[in-house]
Amino acid sequence: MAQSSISEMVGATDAPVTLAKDRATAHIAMHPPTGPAASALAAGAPPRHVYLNLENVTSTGVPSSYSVYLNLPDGADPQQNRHLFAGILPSFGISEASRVDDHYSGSGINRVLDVTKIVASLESQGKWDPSHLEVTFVPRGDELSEVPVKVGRASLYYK
Amino acid sequence: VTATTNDPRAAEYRAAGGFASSISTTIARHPEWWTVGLCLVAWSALIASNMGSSGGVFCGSLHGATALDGPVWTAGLGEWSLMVAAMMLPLVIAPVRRAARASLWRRRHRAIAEFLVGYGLIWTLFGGAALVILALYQPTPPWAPVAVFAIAALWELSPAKRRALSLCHRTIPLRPTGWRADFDCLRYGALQGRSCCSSCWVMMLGSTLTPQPLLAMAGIAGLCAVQRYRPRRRQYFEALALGAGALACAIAALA
Repeated sequence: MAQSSISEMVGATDAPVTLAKDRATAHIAMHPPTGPAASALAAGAPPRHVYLNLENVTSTGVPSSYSVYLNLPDGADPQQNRHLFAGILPSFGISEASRVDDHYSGSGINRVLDVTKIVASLESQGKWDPSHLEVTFVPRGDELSEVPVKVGRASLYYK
Repeated sequence: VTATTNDPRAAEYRAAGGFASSISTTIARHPEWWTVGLCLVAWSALIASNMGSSGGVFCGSLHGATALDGPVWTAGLGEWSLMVAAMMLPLVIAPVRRAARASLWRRRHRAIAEFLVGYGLIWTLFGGAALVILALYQPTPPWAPVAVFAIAALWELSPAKRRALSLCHRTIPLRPTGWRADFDCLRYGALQGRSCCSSCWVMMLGSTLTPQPLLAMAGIAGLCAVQRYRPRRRQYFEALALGAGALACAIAALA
């Protein structure tokens, strides 16, 4: 399937999410794919790769880093749900990329996480909802920063 | 018609299918293709209209006009729009592609169209203002292009220019559906238009005033592309090139 190598956005958050010292959850309303991912699905093959994009991540200082989980139940212990761990949203370089100067446009950083295995695992357990996804950000470390981080958009891509 | 594996026609069929598939894959992978097409059409129209003989963009439409009436506006802004499409669209291929890829598949071309409307709106406002100012100073003094190119060269070395150039790489989050998605794509295009306008406004004015507009447009479009796709800390090369442009205009004015 030649076209399956083209990525297709299937859902994104409708508003920025501000992260602070507590965990925060972003909700992605997903839509059935209508492009190359739909062709692949119609042919009976699941999307080869699923990516979570964290876009326009900005901050005014040095924030905490965050662990990112997919569909982490409310109140659940992240340590007990490592199979839902998608990756880390690092704090390195965010404040610099959020300023407008000779080198940066102030758009912040973008982070792409490969969540193919988590999605496949959720699907195999019957816990994958193709119309809705929750992305939970859990602050990392013992000394958490007071500086907030804004995630401009979280989006899901099939490829 | 079927073709066996050993049939020489089989390779031909596979090649034809492969070619068609390759074309459709390329089009799907590059939804911004028609933006490039618009740019080529604009260049073709500029060359075909033989703008060089009219003495410059705007000047042809303003020649002999006693007031800024409807035909003058239409002709002036028409020329300006062609010029912006030819020179500026190559600079926004990356954000156009981003607008498409950050949208749902069924919305990709709509997102591109909305981006281009927002982008064009800013340049049209600037072009309208330039048309009004030029109309006040008709006929254009022969030293005007010299002054504008000299200002453009100085502008290239200013901190404000570097900041404007940085902002040309700005992105914003695009909401996925509904009128908010339409608004975000329009806003993204308008923000890109504002940054582009802040960065390139003097050079674009220079293109309208020079006695060799097509040559100037091609050169300035090249300079803009270099600084957009090969960003450096200082724009010495661009400043020197625009300084040479000022010198050429001075020689032409004295001749």
